[in-house]
Amino acid sequence: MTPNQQPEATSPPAPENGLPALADWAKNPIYVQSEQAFRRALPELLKRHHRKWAAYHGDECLGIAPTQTELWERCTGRGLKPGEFTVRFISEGALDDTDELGWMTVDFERYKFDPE
Amino acid sequence: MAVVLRDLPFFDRDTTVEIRGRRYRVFARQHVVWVSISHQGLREPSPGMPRFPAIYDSGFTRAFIIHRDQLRRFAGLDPRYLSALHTAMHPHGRHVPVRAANLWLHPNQRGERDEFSGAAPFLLEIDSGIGICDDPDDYPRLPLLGPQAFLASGLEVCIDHRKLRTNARTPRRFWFF
Repeated sequence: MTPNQQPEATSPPAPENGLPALADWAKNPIYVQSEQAFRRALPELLKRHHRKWAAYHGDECLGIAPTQTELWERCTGRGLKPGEFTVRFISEGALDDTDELGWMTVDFERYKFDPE
Repeated sequence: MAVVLRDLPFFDRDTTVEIRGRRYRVFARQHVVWVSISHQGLREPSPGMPRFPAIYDSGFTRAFIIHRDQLRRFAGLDPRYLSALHTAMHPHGRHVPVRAANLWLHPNQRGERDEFSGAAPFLLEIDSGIGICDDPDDYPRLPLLGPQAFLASGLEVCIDHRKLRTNARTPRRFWFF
């Protein structure tokens, strides 16, 4: 099988499994609330569920599971629509902003300039 | 334990990779993997899901970044079909919006970079979304895949710099003593 033996992508595929197009979860208050609840709960979640996934709908934890997909199915199975819940991975770096800000980065906290 | 990438070669010279009839340059020692993008929540890949090459970059601290035009041309996806998250990436100080998506890693035919084993693609569940940049001038020539994409699956990646081969497998579940 080679790269050329695949369907041409000439137009956007239709959304599947009832997933909506043009959704902006960031503007959905219940999604934002769910994210905030996960962030608050993360320190406790890390103690017992490290490297698992957690689903939140508003302030309610809907479950902990080993895979994201399992929780998606659980949430949509309860009638929730995408964007009304969040499924996040429980890891220590879950909330870190880890982007390099430039090609050269100087850690000013530790770097001591020596004029000599 | 499942082997996802088996003796996937990289090269100590520049090569090219073909996407839909157009060739793109791959620099020496860049690691090309073939991926697909889908919505989250899918247990099986879609039958017509296009696959395309990405550069595995262990220095990229996020899961995945792709330009909006590449998303359309390579993955056949309009960015608006992926839901916007409330966060953003800031690689090199630029604001890059993040959208919810998962990736699928295509197992290669052993020893071949651009041919496939025929095995089902391996789902990479992405926690923090993928970056979709729209800077007209400054963006990766090919999408970048970072180690964060392997975080949840715990995929073990072994790069042999003598043989110029990469192997990736799922972690062992049981250990025998």
